[in-house]
Amino acid sequence: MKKNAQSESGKSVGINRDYAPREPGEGQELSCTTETTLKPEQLLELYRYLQLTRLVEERLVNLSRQTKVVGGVFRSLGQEATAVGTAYALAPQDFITPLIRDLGAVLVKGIRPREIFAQYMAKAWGPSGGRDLNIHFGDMARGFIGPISHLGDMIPVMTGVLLAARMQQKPLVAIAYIGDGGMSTGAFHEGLNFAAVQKLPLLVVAEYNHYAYSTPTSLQTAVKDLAEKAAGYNIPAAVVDGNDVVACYEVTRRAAELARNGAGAFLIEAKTYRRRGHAEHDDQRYVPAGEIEWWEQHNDPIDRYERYLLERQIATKEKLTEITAVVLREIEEDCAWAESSPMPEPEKAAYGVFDNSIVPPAFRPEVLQD
Amino acid sequence: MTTATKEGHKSARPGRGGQATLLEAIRQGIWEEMERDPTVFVIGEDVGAYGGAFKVTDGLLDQFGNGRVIDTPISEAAIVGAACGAGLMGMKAVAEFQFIDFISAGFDLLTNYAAKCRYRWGANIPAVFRGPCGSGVRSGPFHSLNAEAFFLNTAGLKIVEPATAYDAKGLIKAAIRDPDPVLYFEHKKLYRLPRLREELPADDYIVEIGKARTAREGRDLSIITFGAMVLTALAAAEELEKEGLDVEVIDLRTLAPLDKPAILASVKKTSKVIVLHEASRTGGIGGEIAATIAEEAFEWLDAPVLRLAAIDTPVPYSPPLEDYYLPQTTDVLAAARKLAAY
Repeated sequence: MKKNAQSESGKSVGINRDYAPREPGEGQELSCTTETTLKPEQLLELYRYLQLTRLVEERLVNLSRQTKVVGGVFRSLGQEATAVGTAYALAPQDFITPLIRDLGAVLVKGIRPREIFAQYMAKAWGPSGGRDLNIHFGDMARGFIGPISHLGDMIPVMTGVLLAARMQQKPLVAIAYIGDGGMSTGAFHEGLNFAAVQKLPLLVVAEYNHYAYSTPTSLQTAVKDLAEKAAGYNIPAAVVDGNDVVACYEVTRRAAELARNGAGAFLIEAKTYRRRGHAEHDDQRYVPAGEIEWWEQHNDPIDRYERYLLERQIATKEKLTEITAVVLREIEEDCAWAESSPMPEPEKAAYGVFDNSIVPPAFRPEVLQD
Repeated sequence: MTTATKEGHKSARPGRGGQATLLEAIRQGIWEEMERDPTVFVIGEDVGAYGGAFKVTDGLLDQFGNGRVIDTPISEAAIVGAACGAGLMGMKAVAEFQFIDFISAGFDLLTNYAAKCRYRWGANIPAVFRGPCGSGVRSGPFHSLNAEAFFLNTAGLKIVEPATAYDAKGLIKAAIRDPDPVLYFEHKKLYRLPRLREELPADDYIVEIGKARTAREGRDLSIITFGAMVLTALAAAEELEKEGLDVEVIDLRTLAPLDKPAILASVKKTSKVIVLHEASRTGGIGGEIAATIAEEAFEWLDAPVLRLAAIDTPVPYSPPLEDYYLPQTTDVLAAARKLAAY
């Protein structure tokens, strides 16, 4: 047999479609995949994270309407299952670098709603002390490295995290989230190419949510499935129903296991849909009539998951209501905490560009104060 | 797997101190820091078996292995991004740009990620980004860049550029030990210049970032400069001495943060200033230095601050064109005589 690069690498590269989106049977509503290794209490925890994500965002919208949020509010309405399900498959020592529509993954990594509220309200007690917005911060102890606005950049950054982990002999894997828009950047390509060459345990979760701001995926890329791009890096890929939280978990769990055992990078494409605009100001005039309504009525990830939990008798309706009530209480408390935070002292703007024990803070120049 | 391997040829460990060119001084510094600190690693294009385009990293692969000497694809985003990510994990990258001109391909991650991480969420990135800069070597528009002005307006990046072998070693060590990102520019014309060969101490030393050096003491006129232009300034100073003009030459060594006290002290001593640099005049570091002097030492000046810099064009290839482009010793002489006549 003629040898080629693929057989030399000993890897069978292709796109796995075991958990790809499926049409419901006649007269049936969409549920979630039944094959799972998750235990009932874990399934309920997943539900809690889905509700937490959606309700934190709803509270942010309310805070924004009360003019308490300084910048824009970015929602993941309708695509929460992708972030929650994939991040839930990681071990505590593993890392994520999310995008703005992956609040669910941030919460799964243990970031508390109070931190998110304080960030959005530009408060002193927020993790960036009012210096940056929304989920633009990080927490190395909890395996969370926040994104910057420049899409694609976090893929090369994550290669560095994983190279370092290899040097430090830490057996961790990481997820870098990207979207159909972000995959058009050079940084995405450069990062994933390097990860593939170095066989780094990087899972790229590519969220096909149909729009990048107003631009449809058909104007971002000529491929039908984002997973097809994996072939260019000779890495395996899977297409998953991004609105099926259990499927998202299972696909990621398997990919993480492969990566942890040295198989290298993996591309997971999650098919989902962004039901709100880029941010709350966006009137979505570019969306065809009826499209949002179809997804809302027939393919909402939380509706689907509730159906699944009830059909499989993992929870009663009362149990789900109780979980939601606990989530709402947590949000109340955390929101009150964040609102009670002062705004940052103006002079704090001058600190922290460099280590201030070496370079003094960047105060306003004395020459202007004389 | 991680780095191209080499067969046969083995490069010797550099000496501890001793006679060294500017290039050898940098190599000594990186080598010693990698021996001293297991978190230091090298990353870049062709830095492994080949030892880097100019051989600054020669021999490191054999000594430290491919876990700590990492060849990348042709991808400045990968180089800078990986240095940043590893920095978050407590590893210190010494990242090489094959020519500093290619820093533009890593600009986004440098200015938006490396520079802003500490400020945004307190996560420092202890990385060094180094590479050969500078014109005057007939290398044309894409291998001659002086990149400092692109980065001066970005808070969060320190910038150094040595003009002596001693400073080259002391600054690379200081940069590697610095907790924040440092751009380390190496003028390729100085790399192997025989007259810069000097005896380096055998003992460990650093040159503190943020501190200028008086390359020549003088009372009549200050030339504030750095990099290869230090030699141009010194050549002019020698010439001017014959005319009875006592010229002081300040070698900035660090371009960000600028050593304002040293600049102002020299201005107050001589009251006449030339700011000399290789990069184009408009938007160059010379304007920043001149403005600082105007704001903070106006009463001490006896003449306008003059900027001598390259003309506002790309760096041309042909020798007569490049010589026209760059400030020459004769330009410094003319400017000094003009100031002396004030």
